[in-house]
Amino acid sequence: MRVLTHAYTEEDLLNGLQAGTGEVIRYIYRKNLSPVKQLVTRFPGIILETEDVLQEGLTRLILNIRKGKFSGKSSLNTYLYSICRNICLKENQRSQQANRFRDEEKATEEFGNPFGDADETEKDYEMIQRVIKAKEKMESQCVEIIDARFAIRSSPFALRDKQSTDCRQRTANSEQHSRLTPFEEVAEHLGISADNARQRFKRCLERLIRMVRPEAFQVN
Amino acid sequence: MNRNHNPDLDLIERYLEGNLDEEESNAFRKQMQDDPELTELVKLRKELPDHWKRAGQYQQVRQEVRGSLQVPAHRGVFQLNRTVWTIAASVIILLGTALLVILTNPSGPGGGQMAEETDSLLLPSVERADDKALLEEVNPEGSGDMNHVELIGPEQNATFREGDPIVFNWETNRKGSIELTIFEVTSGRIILARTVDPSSHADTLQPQTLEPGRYFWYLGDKSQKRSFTVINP
Repeated sequence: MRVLTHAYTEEDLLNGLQAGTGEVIRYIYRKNLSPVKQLVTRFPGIILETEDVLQEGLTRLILNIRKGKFSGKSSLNTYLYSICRNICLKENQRSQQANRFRDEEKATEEFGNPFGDADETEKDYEMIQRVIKAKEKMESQCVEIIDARFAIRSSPFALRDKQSTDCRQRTANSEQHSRLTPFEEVAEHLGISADNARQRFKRCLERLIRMVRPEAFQVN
Repeated sequence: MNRNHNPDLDLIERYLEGNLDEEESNAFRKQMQDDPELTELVKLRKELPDHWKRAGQYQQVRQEVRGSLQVPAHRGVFQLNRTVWTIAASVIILLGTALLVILTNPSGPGGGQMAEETDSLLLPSVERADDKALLEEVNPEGSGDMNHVELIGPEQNATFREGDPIVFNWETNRKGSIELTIFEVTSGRIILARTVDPSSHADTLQPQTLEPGRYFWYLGDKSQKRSFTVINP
């Protein structure tokens, strides 16, 4: 019972989540299981189990902490509960059984998190899920080359000579692209030619975009 | 560009790489002004590296959480150290027994106080009156087993390859027909809903029916559902 009664300070918990300490993750999971279970029972229409909601909530909590989006204006447990509540509301909306909770959802949209701690929007998480699903469907060769090309560099490369300074838009676009790994480096990493890397990347990128945003393409 | 035409991804790439000449670039920007869908697609393409990176970070953290909670990919059951569970179970049984004794003898010395302490230990953050109301709300008719369905397989969080047949098993005393439903978790979309004979106790999903992804399945009663995953072999 030692683990069950162990008392952590907020700072301990924050540091533990920052470092991915298993004992802290388990502690927060247990501490919040009962409240989240009660929360989930308020949404009988959703298909997620309490464990799914809490695991998803914990994942988002850790991501937000590591990105510096948790300001500490609320307690970690309150923040986690608010994330889980948003997950439930979204799921409820998705299952089109939101009538009973429409007012509550509207309130959330209007006022957001009352403690001022930011979270990604549900739209962002939807996109993340789409990309993950696409990754799972893609061949490993595609995942490998997109990984290599999209390994965004911390500092932008110097702009190429050919980029003229009189074309602002072009420069802005190119600047973003210049932060991607050049095909020469991708090719070297994969042991193929640069042309081959470019062709393969374009083919894989098209597959990715088609899976992430199929509505942009003609179906028949 | 609209939905009747496939977008020219190569042109988008060349635009973003700065490989269009000024005339082409201006024409492309004009095209974007007239076509919000194209603008959306260019925006998506620009943001894609960031989405890809965040998806990787999400998967990594999700794995950390699952690993910490000891949820094997093929089972998904929250497992703690067996000793901890054994001790916890023993304590709950002891407390439950003590509670039963106290409740059957409410006038005993200190009985009321001890019952209160025990409840607050088991349910530290739940208001009991609300809890009861919620339970009644969710299951107003109680837990009669006239239509009881016990899901046997696939087990919670089972994993299948895309080419595997998936056999659903259950036990029930229900008569007539019952609906087997499969949801896709990410989209919440019903992938399959078909009527089965409950007395058959089994139904098989042919290989390649489901794409890789995570699913829930249930038989008639949505409150009893299980998840499973189909992976790319």
